[in-house]
Amino acid sequence: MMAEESILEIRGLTREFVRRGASFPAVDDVSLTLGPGEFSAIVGRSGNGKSTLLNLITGLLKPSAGSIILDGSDVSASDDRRMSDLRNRTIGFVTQIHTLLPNLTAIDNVILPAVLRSGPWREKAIVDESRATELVVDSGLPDVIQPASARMLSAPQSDHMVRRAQMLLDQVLVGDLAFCYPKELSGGEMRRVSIARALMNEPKLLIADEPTGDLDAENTAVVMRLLRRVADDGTAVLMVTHDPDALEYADRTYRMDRGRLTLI
Amino acid sequence: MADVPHITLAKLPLANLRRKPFRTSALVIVVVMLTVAFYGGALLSMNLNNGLNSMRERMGADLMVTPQNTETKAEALLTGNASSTFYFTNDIGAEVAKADGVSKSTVQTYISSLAAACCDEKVQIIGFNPDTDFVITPWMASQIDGTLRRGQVVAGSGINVSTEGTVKLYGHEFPVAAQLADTGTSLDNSVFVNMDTVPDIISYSARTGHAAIPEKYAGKAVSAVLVKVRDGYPARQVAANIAKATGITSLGYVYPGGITATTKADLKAIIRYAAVFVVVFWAMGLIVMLAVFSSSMNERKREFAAYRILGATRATLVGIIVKESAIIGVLGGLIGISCASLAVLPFNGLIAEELQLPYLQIGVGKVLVLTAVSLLFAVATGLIAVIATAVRLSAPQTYLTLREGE
Repeated sequence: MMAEESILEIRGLTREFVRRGASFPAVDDVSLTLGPGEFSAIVGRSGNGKSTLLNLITGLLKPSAGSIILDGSDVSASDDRRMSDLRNRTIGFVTQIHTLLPNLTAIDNVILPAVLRSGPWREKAIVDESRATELVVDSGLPDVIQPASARMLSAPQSDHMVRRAQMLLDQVLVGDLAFCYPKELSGGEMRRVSIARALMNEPKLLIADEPTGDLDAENTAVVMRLLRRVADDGTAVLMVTHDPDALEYADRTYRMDRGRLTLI
Repeated sequence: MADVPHITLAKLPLANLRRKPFRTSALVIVVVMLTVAFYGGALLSMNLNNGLNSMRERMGADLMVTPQNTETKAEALLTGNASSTFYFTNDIGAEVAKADGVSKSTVQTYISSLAAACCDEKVQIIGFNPDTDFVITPWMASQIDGTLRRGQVVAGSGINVSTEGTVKLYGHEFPVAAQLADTGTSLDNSVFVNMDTVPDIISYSARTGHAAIPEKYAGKAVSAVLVKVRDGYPARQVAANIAKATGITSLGYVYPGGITATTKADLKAIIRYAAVFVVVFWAMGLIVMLAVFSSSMNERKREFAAYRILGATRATLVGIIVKESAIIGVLGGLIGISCASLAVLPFNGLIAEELQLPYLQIGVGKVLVLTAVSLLFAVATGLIAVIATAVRLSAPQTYLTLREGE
């Protein structure tokens, strides 16, 4: 993978924390490159800096040293507005802890990234679909039998959001729970809604911190197949996991030990 | 699917508040209490001030000459504390007019009626001479056409006039020539008659067996001589001149300006007390709100972290909580203003009676301005309460703050 094609390029990344007056590196001189469609997994014991690394990539933490280039932007040099925009448009983040908003239904939680987006929200799939529709219309079919997807173009943008959110929930097999609140969902269902939310804005980089942590084998397979398909469709996927079953879906696996990252 | 409503950035603050109905209600109640104190206190103070100004405007005399030992009754009559009947039995008006320093003088006769059908309390009947009067006529002129004829009355705003346009006093129906606007003073519970009508009233009262004034004095009974002093003459000096000119040393003197000053002092004390109460109450309420917002910040760390992860800027995050506090402020402010208005506006008469001070409702325009200011006050209170939270959320590495303790 050539550097100019990479979505994520990390060089000599270090983040130090101070505990009881002594500084220690939670992330120590880490370098990593991830291109479109690549699926990398990171394993390691708890407290070895995996989550800190992910938070550094998303710009939620500032590094002590090193650089992170995300989709051509230097994360360390980006101001809050630029970094927030990157998190919204370029990154999809499935967190380790449950971060669904309890006051919103599952479908509203999934729609939220589109709502927070600065500027108009546009769904690539619909634009692609519109091209296909144009072909159908151009073929001479009368307006009265115009396909539904063509009518969608004239529907408000918000309808597209709802349609995409529902489609994502269907894909992670919780479509029938779209109007449930998080407190009505099991841990596994909440995890799947989080994944749907991370995919809402069609990110170039999907970061998943223990995405199968509280899923059974069957649901783990559903989620991992989805992540694999996301990667196959061109999204770079970076996953932290403790689940050996999840590793077989990744292209590469790294180990994080006391802040240092090594390829297995 | 097309018609399914979904969350928007604008709806988020309201959705967040709905999720915590108890916390939201508690905050709204605090703002309601603060607004009631602010708006209600300000409204009462402004009404009292308005009443004082009204009283000052109506007291066109510098000096009031009354019979011996009737000063207190005369003062009570002016400030609205009680109606009274007192009178001279000699032609005091002409004697007073001769005194040095008297610019204008006019006589008035005060009769306290029996309890009448028109009113809850006794009615103060004030007889005045339209030819010499300089106290009542100027402000009455703007409200009645022509002159007040014998047998007619002008009713104060607090007098209930019958559908036939009359007021029944001492068993006699008096036609009402006009009804005056509210003044917030004792004049609201008075009826005004031409001096020529006074003997008739005394005659009617005699027929009921309760003669207001002995009939032998009916034609000359005068309760007070109201004096306007010449420029440069102190009222007390003129009073001394009157004593000298009339040869009567036991006359009573009332200085309406002094009454106004005393009332103003009382009023200032009340307003000062109300202001201190509002400030202390507001500070306490603000501390409660700061504590609630601050503790909810800890409770909502994960929620705020989620917003950041999804791409909300720090400004967006601060915007959400500021809007939440603004909604609480507007809601609490509107409820508070409504409650205070319902408690104050319909009960002006009762409040005036309890306060024993001139009390006059301010105009609609001023009430609207006060409403707007109170609403701003309520919203500002909510915004001040979230400043600490907003500052913490604005910190450069918000996520560290949000993950503290995890």
